Amino acid sequence: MKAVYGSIVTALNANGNKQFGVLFSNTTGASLINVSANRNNQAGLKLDSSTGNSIGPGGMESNGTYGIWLQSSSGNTIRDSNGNQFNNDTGIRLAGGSNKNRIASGGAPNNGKAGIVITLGSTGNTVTVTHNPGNGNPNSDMVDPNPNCDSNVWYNNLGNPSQACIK
Amino acid sequence: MKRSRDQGIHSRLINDDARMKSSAQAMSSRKTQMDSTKKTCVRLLARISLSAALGVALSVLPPKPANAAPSCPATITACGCKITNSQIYTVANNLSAAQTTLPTCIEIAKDHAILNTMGFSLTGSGKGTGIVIDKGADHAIVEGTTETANGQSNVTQWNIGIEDDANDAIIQLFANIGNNSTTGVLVKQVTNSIVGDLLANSNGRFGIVVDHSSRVEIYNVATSGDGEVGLWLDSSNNNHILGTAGANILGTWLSTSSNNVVADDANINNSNTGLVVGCGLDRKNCPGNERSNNNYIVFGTASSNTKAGVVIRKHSGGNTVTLGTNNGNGGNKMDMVDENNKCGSNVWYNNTGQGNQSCIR
Repeated sequence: MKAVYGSIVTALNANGNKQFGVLFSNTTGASLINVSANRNNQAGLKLDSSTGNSIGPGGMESNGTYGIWLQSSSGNTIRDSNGNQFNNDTGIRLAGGSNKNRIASGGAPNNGKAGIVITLGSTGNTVTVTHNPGNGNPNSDMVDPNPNCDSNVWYNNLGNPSQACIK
Repeated sequence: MKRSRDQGIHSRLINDDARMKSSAQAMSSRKTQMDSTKKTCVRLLARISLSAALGVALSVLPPKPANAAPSCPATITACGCKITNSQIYTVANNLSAAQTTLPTCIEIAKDHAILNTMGFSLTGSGKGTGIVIDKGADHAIVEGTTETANGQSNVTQWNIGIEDDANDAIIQLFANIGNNSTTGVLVKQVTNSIVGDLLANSNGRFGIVVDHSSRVEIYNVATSGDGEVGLWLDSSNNNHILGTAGANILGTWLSTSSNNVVADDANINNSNTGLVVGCGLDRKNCPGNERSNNNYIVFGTASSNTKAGVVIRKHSGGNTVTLGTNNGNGGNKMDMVDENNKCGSNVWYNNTGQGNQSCIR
């Protein structure tokens, strides 16, 4: 979806594509409901410069890099998104100044490197009620390199964290 | 069953009458209190004006109400306290209304506070509120258990189980916010809150109410056996609803509510209608301006309801209903009903069930 508002994608599989299963680019207020995106060469779902979208239920697994990748994307909600697993790198990645997103009830276990990652400079995000055990790198089930997690809130999650502010 | 239902409605009307009388007495009492408060304010204003006129700086503080809730400790063991810090609070035992004279068991008055009721129950006495998130206490998280625990909390027998008056709240993981006099969960005049992973069953009137709110996400909820409506959006736009509403009178009702997405939901076995878009069913031809427009109803089920499956009422337009499974509702050609001539600007496509017009597909 490219530069659209309010579109709905539901009840489909987006598997085995050369880049992404589903791509939201400069998209606002869209919904992704009951969608799986597996075995894509890059990410299952990428939100690029996209705000205020609603994701879930649905999980993205066995993709080349990430299950769900938010790049410079803020104010999105990912809820009831279990099974972001077996991706070569990370289950869910918030990067490039992705702020004020909410991840509520979901999971990113058993990925090659990490479960849920919020990169340096992405702040104001909330992650709660996720289960993320069994990711490849040590203490990487939940990763937040921001000092004391900055304004990111991690509460009531399962898995090994990269620092103590992740709960 | 019908006789039993009628008796239930009759009983509820009697109870409503009693409640109204009780409310009238309470309002009279509140009016007296307000008059008293007004006099106090006038006196304070007079003092401020006088001090200003005299060039004297007086510190005028509002009188502290005698029954103000004390601040909650980090480990909460009794009803009747207020959360005043942005930190984690946990409940350590079952809580009940008998532990306080205040109307609210736990009040969240600070932004970015976290409350986990840890599987313990909050039991009321038919009035007041179990948990309220005050206006301005944004970004609160209220959860009924931890990821490592087994049981989830029940919030029962209040007037309202949980009320959210603040933006960006997250409320989830409750076994049942049910058997409350009026409403299980009330989300009131907020944006961006999330309510998920919970049941709101057997409440007196409503399971979950979203009132004058926007961008609220309701997901993985079930509302069953509520006296009137399972899931009610009242004057609320741009919300996402994914839930189950069964065995209520109405399953889901979008009342004066537009641009919402209702998806992957199930509205079944309700004693009247599964899903209503527009004014109430008691309003013939929907006079006035009670319209619900441009909603998406996608990939849902509205079946086995006593009268109708999905109903779009007169004057409501621009709605899209697709991928619905709406068979087996009681009325003739009432699986899908559009009261607008040739469906107006509503689109019905790729649904199953019998419609009342040929424009319904």
